[in-house]
Amino acid sequence: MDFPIYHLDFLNNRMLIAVVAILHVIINHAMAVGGIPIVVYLERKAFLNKDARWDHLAKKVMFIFFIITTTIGAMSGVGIWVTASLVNPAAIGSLLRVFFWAWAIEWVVFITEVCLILWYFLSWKEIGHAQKKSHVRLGIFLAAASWITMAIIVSILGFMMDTGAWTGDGSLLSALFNPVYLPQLAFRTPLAMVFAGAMALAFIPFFSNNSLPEKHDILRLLGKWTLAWSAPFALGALWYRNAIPAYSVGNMQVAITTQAFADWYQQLLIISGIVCVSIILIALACIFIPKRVGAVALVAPAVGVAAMLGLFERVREFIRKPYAIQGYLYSNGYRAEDYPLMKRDGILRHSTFAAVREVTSENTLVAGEEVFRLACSRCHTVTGINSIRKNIGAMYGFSANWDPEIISSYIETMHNGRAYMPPFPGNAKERKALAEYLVQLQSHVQPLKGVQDTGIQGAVR
Amino acid sequence: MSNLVPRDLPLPLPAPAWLLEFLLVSSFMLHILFVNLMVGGSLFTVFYQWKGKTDQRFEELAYLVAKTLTVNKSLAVVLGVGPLLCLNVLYTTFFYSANALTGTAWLMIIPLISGAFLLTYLHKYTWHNNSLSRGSHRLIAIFAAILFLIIPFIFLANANLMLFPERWGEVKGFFTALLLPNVFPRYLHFIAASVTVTGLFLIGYLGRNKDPSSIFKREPNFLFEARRSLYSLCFVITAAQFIIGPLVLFTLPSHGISGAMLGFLLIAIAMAMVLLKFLYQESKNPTPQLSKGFLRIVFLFTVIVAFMVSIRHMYREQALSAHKQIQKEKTQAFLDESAAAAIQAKSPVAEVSPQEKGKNAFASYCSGCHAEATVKVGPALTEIRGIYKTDTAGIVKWAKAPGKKRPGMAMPSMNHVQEDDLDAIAHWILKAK
Repeated sequence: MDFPIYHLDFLNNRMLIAVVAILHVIINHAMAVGGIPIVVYLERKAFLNKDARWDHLAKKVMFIFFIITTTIGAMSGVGIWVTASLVNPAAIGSLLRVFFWAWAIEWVVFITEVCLILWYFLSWKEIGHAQKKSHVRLGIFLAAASWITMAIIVSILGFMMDTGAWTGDGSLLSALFNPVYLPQLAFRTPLAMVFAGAMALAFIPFFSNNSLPEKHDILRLLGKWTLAWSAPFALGALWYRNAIPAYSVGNMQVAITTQAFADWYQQLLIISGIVCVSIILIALACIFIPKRVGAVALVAPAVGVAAMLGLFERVREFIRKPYAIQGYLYSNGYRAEDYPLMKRDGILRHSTFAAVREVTSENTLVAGEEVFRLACSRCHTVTGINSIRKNIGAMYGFSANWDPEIISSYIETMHNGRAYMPPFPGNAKERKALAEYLVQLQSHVQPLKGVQDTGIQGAVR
Repeated sequence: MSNLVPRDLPLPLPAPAWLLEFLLVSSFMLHILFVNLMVGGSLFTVFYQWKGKTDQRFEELAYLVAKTLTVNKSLAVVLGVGPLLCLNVLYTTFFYSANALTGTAWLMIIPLISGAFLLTYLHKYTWHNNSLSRGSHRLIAIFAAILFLIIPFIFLANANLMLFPERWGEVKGFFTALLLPNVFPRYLHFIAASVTVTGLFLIGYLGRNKDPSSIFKREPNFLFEARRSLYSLCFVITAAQFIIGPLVLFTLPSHGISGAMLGFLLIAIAMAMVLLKFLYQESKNPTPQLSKGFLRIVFLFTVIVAFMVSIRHMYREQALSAHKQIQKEKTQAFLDESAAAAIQAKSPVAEVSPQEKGKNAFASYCSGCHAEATVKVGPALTEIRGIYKTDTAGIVKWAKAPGKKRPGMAMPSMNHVQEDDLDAIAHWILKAK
């Protein structure tokens, strides 16, 4: 992509986005989209039964949700934007041009949500107050606003995986109602509800019981909530699974296990199954034998859902590879339709910020490193996570000297052998220079530096 | 100068440029006013709490201010989304390039702002906690204020850097970007404005409290004193802006300054002089009410800010105009070349024999790891022939769901390859009929 290349060699650029995004998703599913409904449910129960103890529970849970969502929750959302802008500005910039109005509407809904959550929390009315009923209603509006923000953003996420009719007609409506959109929404909505139940359950061991309802009554309610939402969650998951485009399904195995643990696919599926079943069992225990449920069992479902959610987000992002925007933009930041030009002229010639503009016999290693930075560094590091040196070593071993011809010919066809790899965008000379650079990594390891450390090299020409 | 302007993304703007610019300027104005209230609020909380060491009334005043931070900070952040959206769309390559160049510092806004917000909550919600010493309590607000004083540098360094692609070659990380003109004068201007905006806000806000036990109900003179002092402060700071403002103007690289911009600026300065007079008058008023005097100050101030935000935008457009023109030409030239290369690359698909098909497919999908007689990554074809003999179906089955028979890297699934290609490959490997 034609931008100065930011790069984190120890963490890996994808991991940067992942850490921030998964944190954000955990908070917004458990504490906003799912969290507000569960708080309102508790408050409404308190109001209808004129029972201040349930009201205290609702307010206590709301306090925690309020503090976390309006600090780390909000900032991690901005953080996804900031990290995506650093790692793949071509992708996020393109999405913004297509979905600007969707995001503008999302913004208006966000403002509504922020105003409502401030109003809802800061003006909490006690049981018996004349305005308690309107306070409950305020909570319902807040819950709706929260859900709407998710409903809009999920459309964009779906679009990245399957652009549907947009590639033909270029219309915003086609982009919004892509084939993955509604299935993913049907999956995430009950997931958020289940997560909120699990999160509230995890708080219970830390709440002292004065002024709150009896612990077993709380557990029964939360257990029923979690169980009730598990059924629509399973259905939504099935619908979503069936909507995933065929090219993505093939990537599922490596997505779930990563290449290093490819042998563990069956075991990981079994473990995931056990986690899901355990959560159901704990929910049932909360309903039928609440007095016997210990602190560890109360905290475990939240941990389990968070882990599954993190794994799901990784899988969702990975199976979309080789594309950042399916059919349009590869994960390396290059547009599919520019490939004929790049493969003819090379990528260096069309990169404003590259240190060299073409491969010569004197600059092979420098050119090779530039090509790596431009074509590979969005997903690979040299010394950190998903290190290209480790990957090549896993293929050819470290004892014999690596052969640049073999590596060069592998780069030419790797997208055929591994479907999640984008095709190499450069020309033959660049491919060979890249291979030379990679070969010398066997004995000379140097972390790759991003533009934030090096500045734009050879800038003034 | 032109070398460092990248080509633009080849997607159309989602709306006419003038509409996006209007949205940018108006949403930015709302955003920056709440940011002013957030930063200023944090500073005032620290100041009033410090005065509260000797006069308990200021401690109560500080608490009132601290409570406004909860609302203002959230609105400041959420209102920032709008201008960021417009900025990303209108100035895509300029903004993202500046982000990459200041890289890690730009990223730090997330944990730093989160931290400042959490400290602000901690400060407010432990206010009446007697197990915390007053000194430690004050320290929390001081840390939050320090963060609020540092964070604007990160935004300013980016906002500044994006305007000057001709200087991108000089930048090596955040600190070199910070030293480019005119980040520091802008910072001074912003901090001074934050104090003024918050001062005006507090003049209006204080005394709103209907609670009969509130400090202002009990001691109305304290309220008038507080308001009067705030007017004096706003007067002094606004007077100082008559020095800071010109400092900003004269340190701005001149190629961005246009006649229209200077015209607007002169009008804004004239209004600011009137504002100064109003502020002075109110500061001499022994019992400042929230009446005509206050309202005309707020109105005038709002108009001045609207002018300033517009002037800022005019400078941005002028500074980038030459670059944008070059970028437009570069982008079009690139798209033309790309289209031509795509046409050139299309060659008619010739009929191939099954052996050719198998050989070509093998070259595409398998040759990366398998060679005729040597081990590349996986076993050589000679060995594979020995294992499968004439069993082409067996090769296809293995390729789709490979097991693991030997140490080293596992073979990836070839599920994505068409059935007939897999079949042709198997036949070609085994040289079977």
